[in-house]
Amino acid sequence: MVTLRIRYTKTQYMKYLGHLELMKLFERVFRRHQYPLKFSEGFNPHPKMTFASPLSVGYATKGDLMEVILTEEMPIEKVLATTFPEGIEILDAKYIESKTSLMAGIDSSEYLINVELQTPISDLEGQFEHFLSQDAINYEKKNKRGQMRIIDAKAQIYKAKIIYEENGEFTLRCTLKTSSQGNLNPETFVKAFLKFCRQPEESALILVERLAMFDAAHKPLFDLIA
Amino acid sequence: MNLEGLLQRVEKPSRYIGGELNTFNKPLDDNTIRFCFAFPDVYEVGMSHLGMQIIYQLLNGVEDVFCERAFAPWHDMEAMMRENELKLFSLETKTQLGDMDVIGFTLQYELSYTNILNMLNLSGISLLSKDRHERDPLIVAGGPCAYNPEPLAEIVDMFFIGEGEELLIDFIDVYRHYKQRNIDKETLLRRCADIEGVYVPKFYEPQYNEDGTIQSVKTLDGVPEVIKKRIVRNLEDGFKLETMIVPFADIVHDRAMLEVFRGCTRGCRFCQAGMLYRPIREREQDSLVENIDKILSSTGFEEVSLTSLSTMDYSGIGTLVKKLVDKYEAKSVGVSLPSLRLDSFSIDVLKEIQKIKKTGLTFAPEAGTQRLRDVINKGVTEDDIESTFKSIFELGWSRVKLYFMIGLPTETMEDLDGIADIANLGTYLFKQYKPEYMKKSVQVTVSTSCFVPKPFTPFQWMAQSTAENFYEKIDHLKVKLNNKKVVYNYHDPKTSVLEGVFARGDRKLAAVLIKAYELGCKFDGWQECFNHDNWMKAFEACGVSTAFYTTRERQKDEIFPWDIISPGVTKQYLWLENTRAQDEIVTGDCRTDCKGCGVNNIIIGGDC
Ligand code: SF4
Repeated sequence: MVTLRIRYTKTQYMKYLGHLELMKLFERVFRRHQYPLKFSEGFNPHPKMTFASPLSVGYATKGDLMEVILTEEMPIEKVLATTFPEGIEILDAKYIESKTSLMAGIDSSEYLINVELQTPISDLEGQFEHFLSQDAINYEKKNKRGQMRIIDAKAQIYKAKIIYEENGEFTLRCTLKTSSQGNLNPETFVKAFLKFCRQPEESALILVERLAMFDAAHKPLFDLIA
Repeated sequence: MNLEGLLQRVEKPSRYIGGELNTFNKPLDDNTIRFCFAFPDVYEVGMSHLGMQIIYQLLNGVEDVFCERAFAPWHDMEAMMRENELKLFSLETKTQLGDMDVIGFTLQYELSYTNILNMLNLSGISLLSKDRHERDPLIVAGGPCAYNPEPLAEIVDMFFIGEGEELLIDFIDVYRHYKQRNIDKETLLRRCADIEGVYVPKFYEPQYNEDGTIQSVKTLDGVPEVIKKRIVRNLEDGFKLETMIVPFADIVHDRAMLEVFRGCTRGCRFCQAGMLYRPIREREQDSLVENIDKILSSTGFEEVSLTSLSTMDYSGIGTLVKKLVDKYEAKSVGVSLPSLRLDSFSIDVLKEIQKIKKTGLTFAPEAGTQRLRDVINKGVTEDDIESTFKSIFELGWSRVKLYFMIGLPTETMEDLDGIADIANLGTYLFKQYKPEYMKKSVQVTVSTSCFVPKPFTPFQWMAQSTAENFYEKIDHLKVKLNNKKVVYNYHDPKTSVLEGVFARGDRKLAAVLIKAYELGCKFDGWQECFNHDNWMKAFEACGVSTAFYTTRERQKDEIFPWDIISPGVTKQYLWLENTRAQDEIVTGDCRTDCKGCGVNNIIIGGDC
């Protein structure tokens, strides 16, 4: 048995696939390309696949990671030649030894967030700086029991910068915590800022794209096991 | 807001994006015939439909045709589309349906008709055929409900009767002249009316008697008086589906499907499909195995279902299933059968499948007593039921689902009690025959649907029960099915009554349909969307009585709205079967012994 790690994109219309839909698609594409899949035991066997920190529906990615267990190695050229529906592409693939789980290694993700507003925010940069320099950047989140909790995002924001602004549209590049010990959803982050600016958040169109994932030492996760 | 904005907000956006494996995106030029296959229900339902998959691959196999798809948007999407003035679009290229050449609706059930109106309206296309212009898309329709096209005759320009594989190609050959502007729309319609299997309603004018029944049908411009259905004579020579679109969303039937035969020889008297799809035509076993391999390797599906009206009747089903199970077990590809017969042979086949996956078991005795099963010609005996229960429980199943119909012709309370007897027999036999290791307790689920008399069946003359009557029967069953191990589900009678109206409906219903749509009716087949009050208001506003269509017993010689169509089975044969039903006489399987239903002479011109 071998573990194949794959870095893939999910862009264009494919970003609208939900996580379960994405998993089913990968399984079928793998079957279609005759991957020697390892199946779980039992009455309802399924292939063993793990997706690192799955994205919400509507988010694109320039390089997410997944792993699949195969019964034997399949040539990497063949893996790279695997065809998906337009919008999904395998960028890189390699066999890994490491026993540590994919999820455990992740600490943060870098995103490009595009925001379209009905009316522009005046002094956007200044406001953003203000927003970030608060003592606490609070937002509300439902916990597992469905109760609302106040969470401080301050420690979950590693980097954040406005890189483009025109009329009511602006683009943010930011690195946010993505781990099992804390996770800041990029849309939540933007909405907290819009709230801070007293902007209606409902009418804003927020498009999110993940650029990369990093470990705690801020190394790109895929390269780490080169 | 643009489409992107809508997709960011809508529930289940994957319903609207297209781009699945094995879809097409063809380069367009002036001569490309753009056909939109429109399914009047949500993606998950439409994509489960084998006919859609066949037509999509068939039409896209024609060089100058580009077939795309559209489904009914769910309420949330529709509201946002209307708010943002976005028209209904095709999944493949996001083209507005108004810019298509042809929009083809499939008519799978009567309760989807309001969705057709809604989809036309969302496309900015006039609902009535006569209000549409020369260059508006041509609206065509096919599928089982097209056998009684009359309720939609004023809305749809042209109906395709029967199997589409050859018929659609004939249609495209004529349409090409229109596309190249050699002929006008009127000529297009007239020429299509001469294609066997095509019904163009504008050339047919029903004349009515005072009581609302049909006196005669006037044909215009020399079109054929009766439209005969089209079939593919030999499935091995015809178009074979060798790949399928692989859906994203979790659809109803999310698996490879392979049709092992068409038609059915059992002759159940309530079953419209059994009459419509005659004669029986089987595929060859080796060819099927090869075909499945092609589908699986181009789709990656993890399950294949062998479909037909009654798959257990396929001549080589035992060996076919064994071959497939042996071949795919290691690859963890499951084999499934949509329905099982109540007999020992089915159980043997089941044992094979069980090696891979333990699927739920469903059987359809349809009626509770031998007498009533004889009336409907359902060839299942009490022994069959008993021995089936014994075998499945011995094999370790503990859950079984049983389908019955209520409101069947000649039904009495005794027949309903028979349903409870069968359910109780199941729970009793479980205790006697379950294996030692079995810890689970038994669950027998009884599901009843309300009988709807359909055109081209021996019961097409019969009255349908009233909703009140159905409710009484359901209440009776609720009391009788008091066994704690038995679960009772029933289908709502009100929707079955509406289905009954449209199933045997005529052109007068177009006004009602449009009125109901204007009052907000859509997705009528979805229990939570069905609005009975609005429908009743629509009937009232149009001065149309539902009883005329449902509870009225028809005379032997009444001319039916659907008599302009011929599925090959003659009206005389259906009447004969009707009288045999009254006399409780069964008619045997016609596989070995022809009963003279007419399909041989009318459709084939030779033996079946
Ligand atoms: S013509 Fe005879 S064999 Fe053919 S379908 Fe009818 S009854 Fe059956």
